[in-house]
Amino acid sequence: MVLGFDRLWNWLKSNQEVASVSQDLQKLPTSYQQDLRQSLAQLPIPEKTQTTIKNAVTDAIASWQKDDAAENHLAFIDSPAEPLEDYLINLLTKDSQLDNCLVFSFPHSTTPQQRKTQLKEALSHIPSDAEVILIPNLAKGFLRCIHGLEAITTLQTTILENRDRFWILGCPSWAWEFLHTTHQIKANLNQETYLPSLDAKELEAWFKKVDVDILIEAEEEQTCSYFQSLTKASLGLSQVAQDLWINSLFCPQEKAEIENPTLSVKRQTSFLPELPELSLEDCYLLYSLLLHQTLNLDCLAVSLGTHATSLQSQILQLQKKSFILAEDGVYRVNPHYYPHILLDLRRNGFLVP
Amino acid sequence: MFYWIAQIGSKPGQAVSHLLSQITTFKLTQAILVIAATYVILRSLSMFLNWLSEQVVLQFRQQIKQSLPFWQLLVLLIAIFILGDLFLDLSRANLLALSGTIILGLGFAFREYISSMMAGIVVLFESPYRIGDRISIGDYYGEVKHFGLRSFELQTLNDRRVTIPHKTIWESPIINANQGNLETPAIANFYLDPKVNPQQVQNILMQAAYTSKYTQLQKPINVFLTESPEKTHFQLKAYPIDARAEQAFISDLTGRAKQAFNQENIRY
Repeated sequence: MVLGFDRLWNWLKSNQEVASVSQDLQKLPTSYQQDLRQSLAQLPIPEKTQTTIKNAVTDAIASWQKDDAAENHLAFIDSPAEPLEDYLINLLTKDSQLDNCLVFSFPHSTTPQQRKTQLKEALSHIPSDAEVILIPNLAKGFLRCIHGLEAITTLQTTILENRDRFWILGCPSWAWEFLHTTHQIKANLNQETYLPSLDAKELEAWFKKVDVDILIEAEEEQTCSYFQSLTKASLGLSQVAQDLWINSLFCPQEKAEIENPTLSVKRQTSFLPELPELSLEDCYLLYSLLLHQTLNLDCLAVSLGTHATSLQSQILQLQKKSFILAEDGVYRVNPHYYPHILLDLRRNGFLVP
Repeated sequence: MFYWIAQIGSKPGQAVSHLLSQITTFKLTQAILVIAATYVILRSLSMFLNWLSEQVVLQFRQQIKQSLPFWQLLVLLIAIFILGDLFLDLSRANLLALSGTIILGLGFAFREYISSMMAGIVVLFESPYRIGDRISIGDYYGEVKHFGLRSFELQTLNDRRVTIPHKTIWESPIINANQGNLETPAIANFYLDPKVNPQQVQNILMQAAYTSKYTQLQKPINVFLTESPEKTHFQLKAYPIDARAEQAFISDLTGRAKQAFNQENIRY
C-alpha cells in the first residue's frame, strides 16, 4: 500500500518538476553530459570508502599475523549498485598497499563445472610467496543452478583449511545474503565489513572533484538541502548519486544553444524517476542480475532456469525502459532505478538485505 | 404473510396501509435510481478492488481482495435500508412483523440460497479460507480466486474455475494450505529406484530448490523420504515467492532435478 502512495507522490513530484523545468530550462547538451559522465568515471574512490577498506585490511592482517586463532579472512560487503570489485583491486593492488597479493577473478563461464575447475586450478597454482589472496567478486564464483554453487563450497573449505594465507573477499550484499542462506557463509566466514554509505557532506565533497567546464548556480543553503535530498534519494550510494546528479542539472535554453565552453547550469532537487510497472517475470530477471551484479545472456538464462532465446525479448523490453544497461554483451541494472527496484523486490518477498 | 401483518393493526387494511404508505411516482423513481446506483457501485467496487490489489505490493493483495464481500454486504445493507425507508413505515412493531415474515417466507422459498449466504457471513468472520488461499474442499484443490456472498470460486491446478456454495462448509472439511499467508508450500514428488543414494538425491533436491528463481528463500526448504518395496518417494517442500506460480515452481523443480538425475545416472 505504502509503495502505491510512494509512487503516486513521486509521480506528482516528477510532474511538477517537468512543469517547472520545461518553461525556461532544458537538459544539458549531450556533449556536456558525456563529458560529465567521463569525468565522474574518473573520480577517485570516496574518502570514507578508502579509509574503511584500508583500515579494515590493516587491522585484520595485523591480528592474523599476531594471533594464530585470529580469522584468516576478511569479507567486504557492499550494495550491488557499487563497484566494489574495482574499489578492492585499485586500493589493494594498484595502490600497492599489500605486498605479495594475488588477485583471483572468476571469468564469465556458463557451466558451473568450468567455474569449479578454474577455481581448483587457480588454487593449486598459488605461488608460495603469495601471502594474501584477493577474490574481489564472490558473486562471479557461482551461478544459480544445480551444482552452480560448488565453487563456493570448495572456496569456503579452502579458506578455512589454509590458515597460512590471508583471504580478502568482496561480495555484493545480495549475493552475500543468498550465500548465507545456501552455505551459512556468515557463520563460516564471519569477519565481514559492510562498506558505509555516504552522507550529504561526503557526497558534496566528492562531487566538487568533478572536473568539467560547468558553473553550477546555487546558493549555499540550496546546496545543503540539495545534497541532503540527493543522499536520501540515492541511499548514499555513489553510483546512484552520480546518475541522479547528472539528471538534476539543467541549463537555460539560449545558453544551451550557444554551447559556451563554460556552461552555467542550474540544479533541480533530485528526484528518483517513477518506476515503470514491473511484471513478476521482470522481478525475477532483475533479482538475478542484482544477485550477480553483471551477467551475460547465457549465464542469465541459466540463472533463471530458461533458454537464452526466450529471454531476449524480455531483455530488450527492459533495456527500452532503461532498467538494464548492456556493455559488450554483459548486462547490469541501471543504478538510476536501483533504490526503487530494491524497495519493490524487498516488499515482494525476494531475499534482499 | 399478509394475514400475519394484519394482526398488528386493529383492522387488516389499516395495518398494510400503514406499513406500505405513500407509494408515489417520485419514490418509485428514487427506488429505481437506488437499485441502479447499487448495481453500479457493486460492479465498480469489484473492479476497483481487483485493480487496487494488483497495484499494491504482494503482502496487501489478499487483504484487499478479501475485503470485497464485506464492502458488498455493506452497500447491499445500505441500499436495503434506503429502499425500506422509502416504502415502509419502519415502526418497532412493523419492523418485528416484517423481519419475521421475511425470514419465514424466504426461508421456505430460498432455503439453500439463504443457507449459503449465512455460511458466507460465517466464513467472512471465521475465515476458514480467504482469497489467495490454497484449499482442498470436497474433491477440489486450488486457489480461492473470487469470494462472493453466496459462493466462492476455486481455480484448480488445471486452470478450471469451480464455483462452490459456502454452505459446503457445513458438511465438508476444508484443508487450507496457507491460512491467509502469501506463501503456500509447494511439494514436488519424486519416485526413485530404492537403490539410489538418498544423500546424493537429497543434495540435488535441496540445490534445485535453493537455485530456483521462484523460491522464497526466507522460508524453510525440506526433503522428506518415504520407502516402499518398489520405490523411494522423495518429497521436496519449498515455498514459491508468489503463490500463483505454484505450478510453474513445481515444474521448474521437477524439470531441473530430473536433468541432474540423468546427468548423475540416478534411476527413477
